Amino acid sequence: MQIQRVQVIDDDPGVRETYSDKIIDANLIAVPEDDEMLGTIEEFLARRPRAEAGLSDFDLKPSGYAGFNGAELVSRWYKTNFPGILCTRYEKVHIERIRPLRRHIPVLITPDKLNPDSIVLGLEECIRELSGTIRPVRRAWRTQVHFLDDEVGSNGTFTVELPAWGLEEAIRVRASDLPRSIKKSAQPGFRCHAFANLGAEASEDLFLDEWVVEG
Amino acid sequence: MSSGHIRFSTSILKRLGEELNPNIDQGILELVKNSYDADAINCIVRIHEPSRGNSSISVVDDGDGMTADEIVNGWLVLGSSSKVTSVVTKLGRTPAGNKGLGRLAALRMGSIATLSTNPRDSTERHTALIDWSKFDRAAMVDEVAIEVRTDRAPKGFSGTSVVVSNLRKSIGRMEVKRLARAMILLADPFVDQVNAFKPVLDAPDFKDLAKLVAESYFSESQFHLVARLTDGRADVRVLDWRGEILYSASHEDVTPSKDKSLYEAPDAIFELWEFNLGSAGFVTRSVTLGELREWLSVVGGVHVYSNGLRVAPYGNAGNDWLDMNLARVRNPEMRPSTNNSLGRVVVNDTSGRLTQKTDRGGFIEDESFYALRKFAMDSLDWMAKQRLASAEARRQQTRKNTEDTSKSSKTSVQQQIERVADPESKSKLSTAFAAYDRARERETNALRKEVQLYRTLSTAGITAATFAHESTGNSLKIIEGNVDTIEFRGLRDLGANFAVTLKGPIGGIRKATASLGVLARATLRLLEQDKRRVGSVDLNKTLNSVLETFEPFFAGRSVSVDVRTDPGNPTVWGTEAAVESIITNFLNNSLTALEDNTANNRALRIESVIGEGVWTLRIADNGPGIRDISLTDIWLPGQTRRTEGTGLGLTIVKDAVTDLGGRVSAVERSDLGGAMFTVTVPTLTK
Repeated sequence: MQIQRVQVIDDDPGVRETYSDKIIDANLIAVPEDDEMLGTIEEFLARRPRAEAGLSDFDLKPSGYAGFNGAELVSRWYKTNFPGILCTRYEKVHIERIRPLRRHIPVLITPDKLNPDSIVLGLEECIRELSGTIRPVRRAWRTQVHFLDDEVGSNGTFTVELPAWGLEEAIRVRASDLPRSIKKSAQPGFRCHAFANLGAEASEDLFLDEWVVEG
Repeated sequence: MSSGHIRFSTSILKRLGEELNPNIDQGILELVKNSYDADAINCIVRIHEPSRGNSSISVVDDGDGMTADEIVNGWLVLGSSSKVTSVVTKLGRTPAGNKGLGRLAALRMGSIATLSTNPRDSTERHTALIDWSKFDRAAMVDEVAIEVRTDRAPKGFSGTSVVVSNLRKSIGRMEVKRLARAMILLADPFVDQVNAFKPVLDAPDFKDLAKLVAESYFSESQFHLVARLTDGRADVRVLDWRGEILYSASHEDVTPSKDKSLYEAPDAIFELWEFNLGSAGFVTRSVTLGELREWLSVVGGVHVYSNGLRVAPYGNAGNDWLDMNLARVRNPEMRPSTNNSLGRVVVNDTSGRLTQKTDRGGFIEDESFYALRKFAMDSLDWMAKQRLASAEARRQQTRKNTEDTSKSSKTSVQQQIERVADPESKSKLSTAFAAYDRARERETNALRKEVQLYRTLSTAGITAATFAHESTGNSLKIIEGNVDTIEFRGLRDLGANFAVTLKGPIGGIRKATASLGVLARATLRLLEQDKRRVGSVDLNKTLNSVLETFEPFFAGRSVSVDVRTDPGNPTVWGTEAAVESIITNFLNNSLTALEDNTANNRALRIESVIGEGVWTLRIADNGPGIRDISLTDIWLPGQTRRTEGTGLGLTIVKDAVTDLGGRVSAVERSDLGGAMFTVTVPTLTK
């Protein structure tokens, strides 16, 4: 797959311009999405693509620019074989929202690490993964998940641990991302299975997907 | 060709009987349920345990009895219930429909089980004797035949008697108590029914318990919740002790989810009576607090009645299937607990949407059960919200009333002074009261200001948190991104000249943006929800995390920081937010104090010392020290020497340290030159 043009998605025109400059310095053509409103994700994806890859920021909603966030967009791109990079800071609240989609977000770069080299390497990584070569840190394995506490009030998250990944760090999963049967059964001591990238080096990079409860 | 059958070894009887249903009381209860299904009105359970000789249990009822055919093809068949829940009995009862496994457990409690039954309108009596020792000697279950004998019996009498003799183990007092409670609660004892089922256990405990349960204290309840579920739609009311409606709601108000979907559960009525167990409310009542507590200890909890019979374990001691106690921990004033309430969920489930587990340990937890549970929990949540709203309205009213009462009391005192005849005394009283009134007014004003200050600070915090990203996020991202691009292009296009012309200014911008970003990050980090959860807090980790957040501020203000941390992970029981508040307020104070140090040697020393069961934090700077204010007053709210200060930082520190069970002290000038604060908190033992 040959990439020449990279679509740039951010709700701030200044940020779009900044990202575009980095893409240009990577000897690629930047295609900033300068429309005021991108609409819903379905509406946006229905548009004819003007590039061969994309770069999106996470927060797109506050200004009314888009009815979806960058993680939703990049993961949907992945499913249509379109390489995409998500650019965001690793903030706790973001990580919990990204985690259920992370399996389909091959490359996440923080703004301070976004530069011409990281963009080129990131796009190469996306293409490799889309063609079936998945790095050990991203490979999904079926693994047991232990629930450590009940749903936490307004926060709406459960604390879980993955013994196969490591017990030093517990991670948070949002109740709204769990299948109904698991959400209802979840209580301290509850165990089920899910697919996770057990090779992930940091909890921020862990994804949890395909939840299963044995009948 | 040869063929065979699946056959069962006699050991299967043990697996299916005593191992699957290990509770003796649960097994006997299954025999009692058989009596209910046979339309019995009376059912007497007797436990006969003589000091010597054979012990036995008998269950005798006055129900329909069984024919020989029903014994052979029903009673003796395991795993297949002939009872259909959609067909009711002559008395209108829906059969409990068990599979006979609980009965097996009960029959195997002794070495011999004898059945004797007289069918209604018949002169025949049928008896069957099961000698379990024969099964012990046989290899396969079907090798042992059980003979059903028929003889004559007086007409006009019907019923069944089951006697289990030579009990394998004695029945303990606790088991008898459990059985007594289960039998009393089996058919809802609080509803007057025609042809009601009245099972009786012939034991002293039962009589006392039955008497206690018969006391009906429902009128003593503070709140009575009545929630109906009809065709998936909820309709909920809360009544007071007189039966007057306090709050009511329809399905749309009760369901918290946006889609307002129906509860996919059978029709049900959930009622809950909540009692005020505070001693103050019992002075004028006819029942004592002790009586009410005792009654609740027996009947309390939320029971489930499906088609007229209770389903254990819901409502048993320790069973909190609606998570009432957990919810009460979060909101103790507005929530019932299993200790101060009694409830029942009466389910009309003729179509069998709820299925009981084979071991009689409640319903299989499928969609229908979850929907029923959710309906009950949503009803409780809704009730708590209404009560919270009422409490808030009361609070507002009380505040207004207090002001009115205060004014009226003041007028009253002034009037009394006016009535004093002696002019000298009157003058002295007037002067004294005026002085008192001014002092009270000053105190009130000080408190008002403090409350206002807290509100202002909270609003500032909320605003900062809401816009933390937008205020600096994008602007910083653009500055940082453009600086990177300038650097990239500078290096590419200017080569060696880059270092001469652009490197310095770019470094300056980077330093400044790093400092700018800290504010938003620090604000958001303080507000992370996890930090307000009570648990074990790693003190050194929290200290290092706060220092990392402040790093750009230290750099921006040219403060050299000397951190001396004892190796280890001391922990304290509390919240990370409390520990962060302590450290952050000290650092804020020091950074402000160091503004007065113009000698270009600004220094901050932070020591984390691990002692025997304690952790000590010392923070010292080389600012001007504590001046113009006493060491006692620095902890008081609103006391500050700075025009922009709030005077709350050290008050918060003191409160937070006290919450953690520790102590805090200050010295005006330390060896470093400026103020030094010392915090000591007890640590958790590992």
